[in-house]
Amino acid sequence: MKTEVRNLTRVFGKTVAVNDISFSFEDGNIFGFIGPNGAGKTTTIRIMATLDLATSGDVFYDGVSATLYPEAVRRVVGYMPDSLPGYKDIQVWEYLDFFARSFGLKGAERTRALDDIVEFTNLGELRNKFLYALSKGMKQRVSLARALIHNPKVLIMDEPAAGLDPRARHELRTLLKILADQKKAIFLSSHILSELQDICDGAVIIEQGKLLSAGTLNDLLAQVNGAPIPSAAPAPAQPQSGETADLSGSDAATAAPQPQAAPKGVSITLKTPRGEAEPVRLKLLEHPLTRSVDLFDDDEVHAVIEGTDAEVSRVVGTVFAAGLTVLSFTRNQMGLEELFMKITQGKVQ
Amino acid sequence: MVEKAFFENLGESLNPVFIKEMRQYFQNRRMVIFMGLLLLVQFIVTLFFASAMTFDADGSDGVVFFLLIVFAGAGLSVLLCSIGAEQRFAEERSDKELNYSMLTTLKPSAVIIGKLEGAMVMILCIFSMLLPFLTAAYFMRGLSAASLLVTVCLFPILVLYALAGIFAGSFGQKWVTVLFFVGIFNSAFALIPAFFEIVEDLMERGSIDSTFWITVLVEYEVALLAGIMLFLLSLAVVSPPKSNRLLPAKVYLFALPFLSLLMMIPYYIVYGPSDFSPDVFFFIEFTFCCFAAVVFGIIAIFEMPTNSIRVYMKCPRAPVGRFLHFLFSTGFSGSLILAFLVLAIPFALLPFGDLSADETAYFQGLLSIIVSFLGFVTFSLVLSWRTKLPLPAWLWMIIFEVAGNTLAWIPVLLNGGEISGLGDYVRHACMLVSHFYALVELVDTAPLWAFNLHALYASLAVTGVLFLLLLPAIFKAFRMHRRPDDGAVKPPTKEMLRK
Repeated sequence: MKTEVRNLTRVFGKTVAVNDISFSFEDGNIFGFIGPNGAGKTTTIRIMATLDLATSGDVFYDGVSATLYPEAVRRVVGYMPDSLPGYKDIQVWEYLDFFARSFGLKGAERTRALDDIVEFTNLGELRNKFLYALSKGMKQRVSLARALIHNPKVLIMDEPAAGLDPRARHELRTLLKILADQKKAIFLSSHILSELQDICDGAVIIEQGKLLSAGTLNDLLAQVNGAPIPSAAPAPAQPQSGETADLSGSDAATAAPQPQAAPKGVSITLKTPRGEAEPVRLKLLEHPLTRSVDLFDDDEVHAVIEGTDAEVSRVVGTVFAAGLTVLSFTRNQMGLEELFMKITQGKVQ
Repeated sequence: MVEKAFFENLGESLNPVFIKEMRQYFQNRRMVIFMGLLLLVQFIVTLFFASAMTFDADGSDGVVFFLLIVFAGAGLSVLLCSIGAEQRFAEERSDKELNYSMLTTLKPSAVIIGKLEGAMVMILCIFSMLLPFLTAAYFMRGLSAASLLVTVCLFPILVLYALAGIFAGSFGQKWVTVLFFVGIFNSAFALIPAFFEIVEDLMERGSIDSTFWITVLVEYEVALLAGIMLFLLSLAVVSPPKSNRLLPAKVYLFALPFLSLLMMIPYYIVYGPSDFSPDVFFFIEFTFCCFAAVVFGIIAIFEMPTNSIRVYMKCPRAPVGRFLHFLFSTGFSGSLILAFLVLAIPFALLPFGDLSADETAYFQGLLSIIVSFLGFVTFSLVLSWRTKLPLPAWLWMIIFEVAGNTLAWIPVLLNGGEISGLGDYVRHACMLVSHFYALVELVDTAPLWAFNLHALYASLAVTGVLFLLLLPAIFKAFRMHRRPDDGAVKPPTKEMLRK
């Protein structure tokens, strides 16, 4: 199922919460939705989940409009919000049973759906607990079970990992990977970018309601880490009206402003005979690719060398040839967090 | 085996919201405590009455006891079924992220019906808890079995309160909750004594005559018509935003003056064809048309001029169908036109009623007030949609009503706070500018009797001019109200719609 957000705009009074954003993704993958607080993530997600209507533009699920056919769309979309149910007078299984019935599941089909989802989200021991008595992590599991009870093809999640402890976050990551393997498309917003980087296949970055960048994770990171971008010979640009950034394939389009392609680099720590660190430092500084050299005690040198793969290899080869002991050797790469910091300005509307 | 299958099928056919409501009601600790207390209090009162009763053959110990229980039952039903339903629904609706009516494929009607079914079961529970004590009252003497039965029959009218609670709760807004609380307490003070009075009257007469049956039947009909109205308005609130949410309510409201004719049936049955007065028809028709016009006006000030593509997609292409769709669809233009159309019925009927001069003046006065109210609505819409002042129509309406009300009370204050000392013309003018003042005056109808055609002409002329100012906006809305080319729109596949 292809999910396509097309020229989506949402205006509240004089505030443009979402400003003409377009992107698309397909099933079997996990996509992150990133942006500073107040960037328009929740508004976009709410429109995608048919909880709100766009001022203009639309969201399409296999070409079916969410604006015109919200009831049909709800059958294929599961939405997990950042807030959690806290009813004092309803048990976990009753809550899930209500949603199963509300989606029209009947008889054995409903029983099977309930059993499957309880097993999948590991809620067996919590079946008869009241919702208010659950911890945050347990409520998140109930919320996930609720969103999945009708076996949707697209799962939209707003800050699912917020407030979870490391174990619960790990469990959530595992569940999401299983769901992606089941050919579901998962679209989630999160502030924990390091974790998104671990599980996401693609990402959309927005700020002040505008799309800043969108593409597969490899392509996004490649731009900032200087690797060649496959099939990106013409500079990717902000999708025009009727044109969407496709996150699914390798031909990802990304939006302006583009981060400057940073040269790749390595950090290298060398061990020198005592008292010989300074000459090594000076020798390294003479090289045009050396960005910085620091001394630790008087027998350790830490250098950062930047350049293309071939250039860096030549410098490192020289170091090895000089017979110096290499203590550590690390390739410096920007992650999603660095990318996010680099291309967003932290502005809110 | 057959029984098991029957109950399974029954369980599957029940409304999911109703099942949820039942589970929540009976697992709610406060509800259980409340029910327990109700039983305990009744038990104590029974003991008290049983110990104090005289066992006199002509005694009426049971009457007082009976009335006490009926009073408590009605009060508790109002509190529990209306406020309880309102609170629970408002809580659910205020949660914008977990609003199940927007997350699932449940239809808005299923949500409201489920809520209503839940409230009705609670009324039934309260009633069944009262029943043993009502029976005990019967054995305490002073009551006839028929009077017991009729009183019991009056209970379902309380369903209206539950519907009112559901309607208020459907907004999910705190300010509506506050308004509802104020309204419910005020109306409870009006309804319960009236209810009490009917029962007391019944006791005193000791028999059920034709007038009583008319009262009961008319009450049932009013409750039914008002209940349907509340149901459809709740449906409008719960329906997805920018859908054609007001269509059913508008169609019903327009049909209300015709449906109200059903209310003549009890009169016709009781009095027979020879004694039946056609004036009943005139009075009922007049009242319902005025009511429908006012509700249309109130709806209009909360609506936008144009609709969403969701509504336009359902618009018929034929001109007549398109115009009717425009008229009844969400949008202030349709509501305002319908208000005037409905109001045209009593205007047309006025010359044909077999009315005295005083009665004619009364109805002319009432029409003047309704027309002036619609004038306020029209002016609010003009200011909101034809000018660049950034205020919604409902806010303009509030400003006008507050201003008119302030203006209307100045002569009263100058007259030392006395209304009765004011001249008829001053009172008429005050009633036209302040509808709150008009309501107060309606309690004492004397000025209405003296109303003349001038007030009606004046209010009609002012409202007509205001309506002309709004005409360009209405025409613009009508031009936009057409079905777009749907070539590019892909409907959902069968697979997508499959449950």
